[in-house]
Amino acid sequence: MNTSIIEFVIKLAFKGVDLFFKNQEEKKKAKKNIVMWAADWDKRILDSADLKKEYDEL
Amino acid sequence: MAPCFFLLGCTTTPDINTSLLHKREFQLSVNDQKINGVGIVNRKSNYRIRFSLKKKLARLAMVNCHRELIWRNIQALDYYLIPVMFLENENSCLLKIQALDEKGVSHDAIIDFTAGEQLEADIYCNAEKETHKGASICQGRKGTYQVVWFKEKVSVKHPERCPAPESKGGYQWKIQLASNLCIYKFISASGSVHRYTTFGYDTMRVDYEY
Repeated sequence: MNTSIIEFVIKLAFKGVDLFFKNQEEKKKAKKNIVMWAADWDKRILDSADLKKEYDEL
Repeated sequence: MAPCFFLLGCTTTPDINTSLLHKREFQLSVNDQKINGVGIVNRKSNYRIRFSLKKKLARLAMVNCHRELIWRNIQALDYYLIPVMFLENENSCLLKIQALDEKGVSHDAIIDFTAGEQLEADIYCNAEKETHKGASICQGRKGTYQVVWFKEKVSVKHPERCPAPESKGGYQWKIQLASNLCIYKFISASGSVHRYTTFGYDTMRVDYEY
Protein backbone atom coordinates (compact mmCIF):
# COMPACT_ATOMS: atom_id res chain seq x y z
CA MET A 1 0.00 0.00 0.00
CA ASN A 2 1.35 3.42 -0.89
CA THR A 3 1.17 6.03 1.81
CA SER A 4 2.89 9.32 2.41
CA ILE A 5 5.68 9.47 4.97
CA ILE A 6 3.73 11.85 7.18
CA GLU A 7 0.79 9.47 7.49
CA PHE A 8 3.09 6.52 8.08
CA VAL A 9 4.87 8.36 10.89
CA ILE A 10 1.53 9.30 12.47
CA LYS A 11 0.29 5.71 12.34
CA LEU A 12 3.52 4.52 13.89
CA ALA A 13 3.32 7.12 16.66
CA PHE A 14 -0.33 6.18 17.31
CA LYS A 15 0.73 2.54 17.80
CA GLY A 16 3.35 3.73 20.27
CA VAL A 17 0.68 5.68 22.16
CA ASP A 18 -1.59 2.62 22.26
CA LEU A 19 1.24 0.58 23.74
CA PHE A 20 2.29 3.08 26.39
CA PHE A 21 -0.98 4.59 27.59
CA LYS A 22 -3.74 2.61 29.29
CA ASN A 23 -6.11 5.50 29.98
CA GLN A 24 -8.35 6.37 27.02
CA GLU A 25 -8.32 10.11 27.76
CA GLU A 26 -4.52 10.13 27.86
CA LYS A 27 -4.40 8.22 24.60
CA LYS A 28 -6.75 10.71 22.95
CA LYS A 29 -4.74 13.68 24.20
CA ALA A 30 -1.42 12.19 23.09
CA LYS A 31 -2.77 11.38 19.61
CA LYS A 32 -4.12 14.90 19.24
CA ASN A 33 -0.69 16.31 20.09
CA ILE A 34 0.90 14.03 17.50
CA VAL A 35 -1.46 15.29 14.80
CA MET A 36 -0.69 18.92 15.71
CA TRP A 37 3.02 18.27 15.58
CA ALA A 38 2.76 16.42 12.28
CA ALA A 39 0.84 19.25 10.67
CA ASP A 40 3.68 21.67 11.35
CA TRP A 41 6.26 19.17 10.20
CA ASP A 42 4.57 18.41 6.88
CA LYS A 43 6.07 20.73 4.27
CA ARG A 44 6.04 18.59 1.15
CA ILE A 45 4.21 20.78 -1.31
CA LEU A 46 5.85 23.68 -3.09
CA ASP A 47 5.08 26.97 -1.43
CA SER A 48 2.63 29.47 -2.95
CA ALA A 49 5.13 32.28 -2.38
CA ASP A 50 7.88 30.33 -4.17
CA LEU A 51 5.59 29.77 -7.14
CA LYS A 52 4.68 33.46 -7.21
CA LYS A 53 8.36 34.39 -7.24
CA GLU A 54 9.05 31.96 -10.09
CA TYR A 55 6.17 33.37 -12.12
CA ASP A 56 7.06 37.00 -11.46
CA GLU A 57 10.57 36.32 -12.75
CA LEU A 58 9.40 34.83 -16.07
CA MET B 1 15.19 0.55 3.36
CA ALA B 2 12.32 -0.28 5.69
CA PRO B 3 11.99 2.08 8.66
CA CYS B 4 12.84 0.37 11.94
CA PHE B 5 11.65 1.70 15.29
CA PHE B 6 12.67 0.17 18.61
CA LEU B 7 9.15 0.36 19.98
CA LEU B 8 7.53 -1.65 17.26
CA GLY B 9 10.22 -3.89 15.90
CA CYS B 10 10.95 -4.44 12.24
CA THR B 11 8.35 -7.00 11.28
CA THR B 12 6.55 -4.93 8.64
CA THR B 13 7.99 -3.56 5.42
CA PRO B 14 5.46 -1.06 4.02
CA ASP B 15 6.10 0.59 0.66
CA ILE B 16 7.19 4.08 1.62
CA ASN B 17 8.10 6.95 -0.64
CA THR B 18 8.93 10.19 1.13
CA SER B 19 8.04 12.38 -1.84
CA LEU B 20 4.55 11.04 -2.60
CA LEU B 21 1.92 13.69 -3.20
CA HIS B 22 -1.74 12.78 -2.98
CA LYS B 23 -4.42 13.93 -5.36
CA ARG B 24 -6.10 17.03 -3.93
CA GLU B 25 -9.73 16.04 -3.18
CA PHE B 26 -10.95 18.25 -0.37
CA GLN B 27 -14.28 19.83 -1.32
CA LEU B 28 -15.24 23.38 -0.49
CA SER B 29 -16.87 26.41 -2.07
CA VAL B 30 -15.48 29.83 -2.91
CA ASN B 31 -18.09 32.52 -3.66
CA ASP B 32 -20.58 29.67 -4.16
CA GLN B 33 -18.36 28.05 -6.78
CA LYS B 34 -17.74 24.40 -5.91
CA ILE B 35 -14.11 23.34 -5.79
CA ASN B 36 -13.31 19.66 -5.89
CA GLY B 37 -9.70 19.52 -4.75
CA VAL B 38 -8.37 21.96 -7.32
CA GLY B 39 -10.02 24.90 -9.04
CA ILE B 40 -9.76 28.45 -10.31
CA VAL B 41 -11.90 31.35 -9.13
CA ASN B 42 -12.43 34.67 -10.89
CA ARG B 43 -10.80 37.70 -9.28
CA LYS B 44 -13.05 39.55 -6.83
CA SER B 45 -12.59 42.07 -4.04
CA ASN B 46 -13.32 39.32 -1.49
CA TYR B 47 -13.77 35.57 -1.40
CA ARG B 48 -16.19 33.66 0.81
CA ILE B 49 -14.63 30.29 1.57
CA ARG B 50 -16.96 27.69 3.04
CA PHE B 51 -17.19 24.03 3.90
CA SER B 52 -19.08 21.80 6.28
CA LEU B 53 -17.91 18.30 7.20
CA LYS B 54 -19.33 15.20 8.84
CA LYS B 55 -16.28 14.84 11.07
CA LYS B 56 -14.01 17.31 12.83
CA LEU B 57 -10.61 18.30 11.53
CA ALA B 58 -7.83 18.46 14.12
CA ARG B 59 -6.12 21.27 12.26
CA LEU B 60 -6.80 23.35 9.18
CA ALA B 61 -4.26 25.62 7.54
CA MET B 62 -4.88 28.08 4.72
CA VAL B 63 -1.66 29.31 3.21
CA ASN B 64 -1.02 31.55 0.23
CA CYS B 65 1.84 33.80 -0.92
CA HIS B 66 1.07 36.32 1.82
CA ARG B 67 -0.71 34.76 4.81
CA GLU B 68 -1.03 31.63 6.88
CA LEU B 69 -4.22 31.01 8.84
CA ILE B 70 -4.68 28.15 11.28
CA TRP B 71 -7.81 26.69 12.84
CA ARG B 72 -7.95 23.85 15.33
CA ASN B 73 -10.80 21.42 16.01
CA ILE B 74 -12.94 22.69 13.19
CA GLN B 75 -15.90 21.06 11.46
CA ALA B 76 -17.30 23.94 9.40
CA LEU B 77 -15.79 27.12 8.00
CA ASP B 78 -17.25 30.36 6.69
CA TYR B 79 -14.38 32.75 6.08
CA TYR B 80 -14.08 35.93 4.06
CA LEU B 81 -10.67 36.39 2.48
CA ILE B 82 -10.07 39.98 1.44
CA PRO B 83 -6.97 40.01 -0.78
CA VAL B 84 -4.21 42.52 -0.18
CA MET B 85 -3.92 44.78 -3.23
CA PHE B 86 -0.90 44.43 -5.55
CA LEU B 87 0.09 41.22 -3.83
CA GLU B 88 -2.57 38.57 -3.31
CA ASN B 89 -4.62 39.70 -6.32
CA GLU B 90 -1.71 40.05 -8.73
CA ASN B 91 -0.16 37.25 -10.81
CA SER B 92 0.09 33.90 -9.07
CA CYS B 93 -0.87 33.63 -5.39
CA LEU B 94 -2.65 30.34 -5.06
CA LEU B 95 -4.31 29.31 -1.83
CA LYS B 96 -3.43 25.97 -0.33
CA ILE B 97 -5.84 24.27 2.07
CA GLN B 98 -4.06 21.77 4.25
CA ALA B 99 -6.09 19.87 6.81
CA LEU B 100 -5.46 16.94 9.09
CA ASP B 101 -8.28 14.92 10.60
CA GLU B 102 -8.14 13.34 14.05
CA LYS B 103 -6.74 10.11 12.58
CA GLY B 104 -3.84 12.03 11.08
CA VAL B 105 -5.02 11.71 7.47
CA SER B 106 -4.36 14.81 5.37
CA HIS B 107 -7.02 16.55 3.25
CA ASP B 108 -5.88 19.13 0.75
CA ALA B 109 -7.08 21.57 -1.86
CA ILE B 110 -5.47 24.15 -4.13
CA ILE B 111 -7.36 27.24 -5.20
CA ASP B 112 -6.03 29.53 -7.88
CA PHE B 113 -7.40 32.98 -8.77
CA THR B 114 -7.47 34.92 -12.00
CA ALA B 115 -5.58 38.19 -11.72
CA GLY B 116 -6.62 40.30 -14.66
CA GLU B 117 -4.96 38.29 -17.42
CA GLN B 118 -6.90 38.38 -20.69
CA LEU B 119 -5.88 35.54 -23.00
CA GLU B 120 -8.50 32.83 -23.42
CA ALA B 121 -7.59 29.15 -23.68
CA ASP B 122 -9.35 25.81 -24.05
CA ILE B 123 -7.97 23.52 -21.38
CA TYR B 124 -8.13 19.75 -21.78
CA CYS B 125 -7.38 18.58 -18.26
CA ASN B 126 -7.73 14.93 -17.31
CA ALA B 127 -10.20 14.35 -20.18
CA GLU B 128 -12.37 17.34 -19.32
CA LYS B 129 -12.57 20.43 -21.51
CA GLU B 130 -13.02 23.87 -20.02
CA THR B 131 -12.58 27.35 -21.46
CA HIS B 132 -10.83 29.87 -19.22
CA LYS B 133 -9.98 33.52 -19.71
CA GLY B 134 -6.68 34.67 -18.26
CA ALA B 135 -5.68 31.80 -16.02
CA SER B 136 -6.36 28.14 -15.40
CA ILE B 137 -5.18 25.23 -13.27
CA CYS B 138 -5.02 21.53 -14.03
CA GLN B 139 -4.59 18.60 -11.65
CA GLY B 140 -3.57 15.23 -13.05
CA ARG B 141 -1.35 12.26 -12.40
CA LYS B 142 2.35 12.99 -12.73
CA GLY B 143 3.59 12.00 -16.18
CA THR B 144 0.26 12.41 -17.98
CA TYR B 145 -0.02 14.79 -20.94
CA GLN B 146 -2.46 17.69 -20.92
CA VAL B 147 -3.39 20.03 -23.75
CA VAL B 148 -3.95 23.77 -23.97
CA TRP B 149 -5.46 25.37 -27.11
CA PHE B 150 -5.31 29.04 -28.05
CA LYS B 151 -7.17 30.89 -30.81
CA GLU B 152 -4.02 32.82 -31.69
CA LYS B 153 -0.35 31.95 -31.87
CA VAL B 154 1.43 32.14 -28.52
CA SER B 155 4.87 31.67 -27.02
CA VAL B 156 5.54 30.26 -23.56
CA LYS B 157 7.83 30.93 -20.62
CA HIS B 158 8.27 28.57 -17.69
CA PRO B 159 10.67 27.86 -14.82
CA GLU B 160 13.56 25.61 -15.84
CA ARG B 161 12.51 22.89 -13.40
CA CYS B 162 9.14 22.42 -15.17
CA PRO B 163 8.78 20.26 -18.31
CA ALA B 164 8.86 22.29 -21.53
CA PRO B 165 5.51 22.38 -23.39
CA GLU B 166 5.58 21.05 -26.96
CA SER B 167 3.89 22.72 -29.93
CA LYS B 168 4.20 22.59 -33.71
CA GLY B 169 2.35 25.74 -34.67
CA GLY B 170 2.11 27.70 -31.43
CA TYR B 171 -1.67 27.24 -31.12
CA GLN B 172 -1.91 23.84 -29.48
CA TRP B 173 0.42 22.95 -26.61
CA LYS B 174 1.07 19.57 -25.08
CA ILE B 175 2.40 19.56 -21.52
CA GLN B 176 3.60 16.62 -19.48
CA LEU B 177 2.74 17.00 -15.81
CA ALA B 178 5.61 17.10 -13.36
CA SER B 179 5.16 16.10 -9.75
CA ASN B 180 4.03 19.00 -7.55
CA LEU B 181 3.28 22.50 -8.86
CA CYS B 182 4.46 24.02 -12.13
CA ILE B 183 3.55 27.29 -13.78
CA TYR B 184 3.51 28.47 -17.41
CA LYS B 185 3.10 31.92 -18.93
CA PHE B 186 1.59 31.87 -22.44
CA ILE B 187 1.96 35.17 -24.29
CA SER B 188 0.26 36.23 -27.54
CA ALA B 189 1.79 38.55 -30.15
CA SER B 190 -0.30 41.40 -28.73
CA GLY B 191 1.05 40.76 -25.23
CA SER B 192 -2.04 39.09 -23.75
CA VAL B 193 -1.22 36.51 -21.13
CA HIS B 194 -2.66 33.19 -19.99
CA ARG B 195 -1.26 31.80 -16.74
CA TYR B 196 -1.46 28.01 -16.60
CA THR B 197 -0.69 26.19 -13.34
CA THR B 198 -0.37 22.43 -13.06
CA PHE B 199 -0.39 20.08 -10.10
CA GLY B 200 0.89 16.58 -10.68
CA TYR B 201 0.09 14.00 -8.01
CA ASP B 202 1.82 10.68 -7.43
CA THR B 203 -0.96 8.72 -5.82
CA MET B 204 -4.62 8.93 -4.82
CA ARG B 205 -6.64 7.54 -1.94
CA VAL B 206 -9.14 4.78 -2.53
CA ASP B 207 -10.98 5.44 0.74
CA TYR B 208 -11.47 9.21 0.61
CA GLU B 209 -14.48 10.08 2.78
CA TYR B 210 -14.47 13.85 3.42
